[in-house]
Amino acid sequence: MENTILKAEMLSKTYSNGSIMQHVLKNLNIDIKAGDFTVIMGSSGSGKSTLLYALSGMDKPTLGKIDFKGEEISKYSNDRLAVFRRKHCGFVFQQIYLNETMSVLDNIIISGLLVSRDKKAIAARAKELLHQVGMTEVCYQKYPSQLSGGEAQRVAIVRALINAPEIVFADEPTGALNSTNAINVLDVMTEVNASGQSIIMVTHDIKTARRANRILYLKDGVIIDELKLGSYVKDDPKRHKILREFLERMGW
Amino acid sequence: MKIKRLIIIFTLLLVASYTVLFYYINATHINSVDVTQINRVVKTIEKDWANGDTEKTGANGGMAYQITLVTDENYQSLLFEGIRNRHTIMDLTSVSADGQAEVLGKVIFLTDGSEEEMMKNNLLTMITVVFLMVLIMVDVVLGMVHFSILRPFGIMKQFAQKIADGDLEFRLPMDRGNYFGAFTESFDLMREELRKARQGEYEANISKKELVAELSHDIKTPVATIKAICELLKVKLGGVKFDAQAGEAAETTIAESMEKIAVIHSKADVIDALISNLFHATLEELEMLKVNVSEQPSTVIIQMFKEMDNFGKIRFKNDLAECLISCDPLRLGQVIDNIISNSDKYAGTDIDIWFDLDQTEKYLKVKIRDDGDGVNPDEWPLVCEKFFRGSGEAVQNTPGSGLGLYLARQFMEGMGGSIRCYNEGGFVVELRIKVV
Repeated sequence: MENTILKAEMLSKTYSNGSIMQHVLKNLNIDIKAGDFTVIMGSSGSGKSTLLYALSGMDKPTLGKIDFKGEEISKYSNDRLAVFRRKHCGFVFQQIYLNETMSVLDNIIISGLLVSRDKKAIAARAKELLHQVGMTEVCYQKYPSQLSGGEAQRVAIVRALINAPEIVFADEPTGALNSTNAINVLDVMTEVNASGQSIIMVTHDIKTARRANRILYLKDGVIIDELKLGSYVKDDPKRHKILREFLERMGW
Repeated sequence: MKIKRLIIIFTLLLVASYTVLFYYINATHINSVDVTQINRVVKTIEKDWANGDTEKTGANGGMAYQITLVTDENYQSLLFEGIRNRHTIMDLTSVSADGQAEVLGKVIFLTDGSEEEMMKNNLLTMITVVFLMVLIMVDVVLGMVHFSILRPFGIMKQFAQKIADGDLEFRLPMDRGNYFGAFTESFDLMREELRKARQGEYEANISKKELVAELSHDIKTPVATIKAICELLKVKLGGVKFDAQAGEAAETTIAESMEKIAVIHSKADVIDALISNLFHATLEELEMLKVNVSEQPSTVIIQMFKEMDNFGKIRFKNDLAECLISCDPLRLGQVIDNIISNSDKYAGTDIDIWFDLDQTEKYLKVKIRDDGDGVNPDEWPLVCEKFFRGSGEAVQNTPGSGLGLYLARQFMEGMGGSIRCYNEGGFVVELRIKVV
């Protein structure tokens, strides 16, 4: 196994309500390799987000284990998990959750301060990352309300990247954006991935999924199939066709 | 009736075609030779001959003729040819000056055979048509016989076969238009009655078994009371203090009573065990031991073992891999209960448990081993059979019914799993539970 950073074995998640048990994830086995851009697809209620949260340590699985670089994080206590998440995971959500009372730069720095004390270094990295995602210096002191949806999501991506996480978890990051902004954000994510960043993303959107090099299709809590696409090449009609055929086969 | 009408139609057709044929043939009269005409022609030829301006062949009055003279070389052959062809042949005479008639040759009238030819053809056509009609009629009648008689018979045969095989749900299709309609209806009625009778028998059987199940369940309560009273008496009598006056006699009486109470207690135990078996056997026959499979965390197995571990004899030899299994917790509990209590009863040793998750085959293996004598290898395949009991000493000396492992297998198979028994330094029961 080359560079497996995240590995789930017989992962199950059950929500119980009295005597009624709902098995959302059933005996899943997943390997995530370093540098992968993995997309999890599936219809609503198939367990996509639950899987993402379980893998990222935001939620604990009911059964099974999750190894992160050989450490069994599924056994961690909640506090230890929180520390683990800060250090090793970045999160991008559909809702952007920037702190409205802080400037863009501060929003990013405060996340950095959770891990490191070196504010100067953090600020420098934040600026570098902001530059990388195409945000100019003018934006640094803007407040989230002054940003467009796409800009805000790019800031959120920078925030997710500030601690140099091993994996970025993204839950429908383009779900609330218009198509121009969505493409913008996706370009940023593709670029970040090309520089070696592992990404696990949940999406409903075929255009978003096209960016991944690996697609897992989830149905009723089971991965029924996966598609390996290779690295993203812009405007490759063949790629889109393969993906579409795969999804049609899955009953998308 | 269809067939009758058809036969009538065909008969009428045949009669009609016969009549047509008869009249046609009868009306065809063969033309007799017109003697006057021929004579007239011959006379004309003779006259012309005398004048010397006649060709040897010609036609007159619509009749072709040929003249052959006695002096001709081929006179004979032409004459015979004419006779062979049934041509009309007349003498060609000339009256000489002295009034003597002299035969010069023959006039051969070339009548053609077209009339006969035509008649022959017409006859052939007529006969062909009549023959075809007869053939069609025979075929149609045979077909009708097949469809209305032979086939219904075939269906009836099939039906009888099904009834004989016990399939009383197979309806006999009935065709009222058929000669057999009434017949088939009564056959079907017979089947209906048979079915009802069998259903009644089945229901009576069920209620009988239900009665047995209920009764055996009810009997357990008084038996339990008897056992409880026995135990109470044992305690009470054991605590009786004797004073000097009561003496030895009283002591022996009490000892005897204790013995008798022990007998009552052990017999009550036997009754209890027998009734339990009866109860289970009846339930099993009633197919009431249904298996409801659901998805459960594998950790329920640990829970089941812990609940069974009354004497602290169960040892887990390795960790259970967490996963979702498909099982009926109630039935899986009974399976484990049966296996553990068998080990308790026959071996009475510690019980070791191993778990093994096979991810490729997708099952969870649970290996349960005691340290007893095990089962004779010849009997391994039989231990899960109904009412089978091993020949080992421990088994023979312990009451039991031979149902425990049988039920365990029923349950395991109902859950999509399996059970396997063998010896490996003790008796081993290996359960394979399906992983989701």
